[in-house]
Amino acid sequence: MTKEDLKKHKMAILFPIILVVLGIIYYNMDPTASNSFFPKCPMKFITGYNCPSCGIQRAIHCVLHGEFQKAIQYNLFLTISIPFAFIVIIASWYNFNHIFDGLNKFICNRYVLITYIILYFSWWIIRNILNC
Amino acid sequence: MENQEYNTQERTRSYAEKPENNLVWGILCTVLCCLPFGIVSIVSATRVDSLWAMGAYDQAIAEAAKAKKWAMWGAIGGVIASILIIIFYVILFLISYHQY
Repeated sequence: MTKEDLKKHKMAILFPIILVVLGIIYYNMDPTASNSFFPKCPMKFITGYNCPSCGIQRAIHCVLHGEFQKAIQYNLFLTISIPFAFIVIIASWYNFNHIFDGLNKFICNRYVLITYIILYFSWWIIRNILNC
Repeated sequence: MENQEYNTQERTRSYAEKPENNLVWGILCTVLCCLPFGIVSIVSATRVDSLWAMGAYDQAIAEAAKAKKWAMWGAIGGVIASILIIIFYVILFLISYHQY
């Protein structure tokens, strides 16, 4: 692997490391514990309203402990957004020898992204009305 | 003259490859709670490919840079806000610790 290759695929190498480190942190620490120093979402901190991703830290802690139902209760939208984020990461950082060009075409599709943005904003409104 | 030649060479080189549309950062920004700047980034990222296909290369490169910029501001904003909140928690903790 040349130096240029390394620079180009920097994120492909860094991503699994970041994932493992965060996994260990969130497995061992409970964000709901009263003595935890996990930062609350800035939006929620200032306005008091939930943002579309609020609950992600608690949900990740639950998923790592196998409590899927509880995780979904914290944030339903994550069942869409996290798999989508993974697809985007694989398509953009792991596109070696153009193997994921088809996937890239799918995620860059205008309608896919418009759907994502519409879901994002509707979830934002709905969760604050229904308080979920 | 030599400089001009270099410039054209540089331009053809950068035109040869479609710019990275930086969509991944916009998506990560929205998923990881880095304020709604991620949405601006996604909107810019969607324009990159279509502008490139239309042959508007300069605009495509500019949109890609814009997508990166907004995702970056979202991430920086999110990180700074998180650090401020952690500091706030630590101060609260120290105050409550000293009261007892």
